[in-house]
Amino acid sequence: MSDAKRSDPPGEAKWREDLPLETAVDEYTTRRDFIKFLVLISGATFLGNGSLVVKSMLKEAQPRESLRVASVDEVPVGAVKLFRYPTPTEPAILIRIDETRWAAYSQRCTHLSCPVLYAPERGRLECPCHDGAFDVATGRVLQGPPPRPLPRVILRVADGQVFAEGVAPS
Amino acid sequence: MDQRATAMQLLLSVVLIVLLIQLWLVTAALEDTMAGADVLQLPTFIASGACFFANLGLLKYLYDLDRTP
Repeated sequence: MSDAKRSDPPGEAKWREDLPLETAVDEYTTRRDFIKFLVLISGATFLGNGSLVVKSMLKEAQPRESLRVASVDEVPVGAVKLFRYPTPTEPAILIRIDETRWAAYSQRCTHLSCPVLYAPERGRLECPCHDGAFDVATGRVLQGPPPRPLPRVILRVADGQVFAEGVAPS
Repeated sequence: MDQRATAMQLLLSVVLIVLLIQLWLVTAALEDTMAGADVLQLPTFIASGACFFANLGLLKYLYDLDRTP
């Protein structure tokens, strides 16, 4: 108690500043504290933006792994094969459009991550959750709420095998 | 006190606008990240830093205002 008296001379105590009696001074104090809080949020937003920079740098530093997805004979024309790429938790879909054309995309709809399904009769990938649809040749959005095209898996066909070799940005 | 209250009101408005700009920047960067592109992250980070330091400058001005008798 005696220490408090020494550090807080009468009339200059911190609590007197924070809890003033007059309404005008009280409003001033409240707004001042609110500005401090907003600046704190501003710093947190800046750090959040920094974390996205770090994330993109880490992603660039990772080597692109090549993965054998299927053999050419395994997938008939108009059929699909599901696989996991680029990580074991990321679903992807390989589609044989015709004899020579292949396409592969992330199977997660860019709207709310529902799995997209191939509709060969309409030549598109469809999301059953909210009626989103993507062009099978390019991955671009044809209808519905998805905001972005499907991320495309880069393919290489060699020696009767289909390989996934990275993901192109959507 | 009236002048200070007006200055405070102005400061509050400016800080809020700058913060809204920052939120817009981080949203754009997040959208870019989700799309798998790496174009906007660094420019928005730099712009967000400028906004944050501007806000810090305004906060310092506020402290200076408080010290003024």
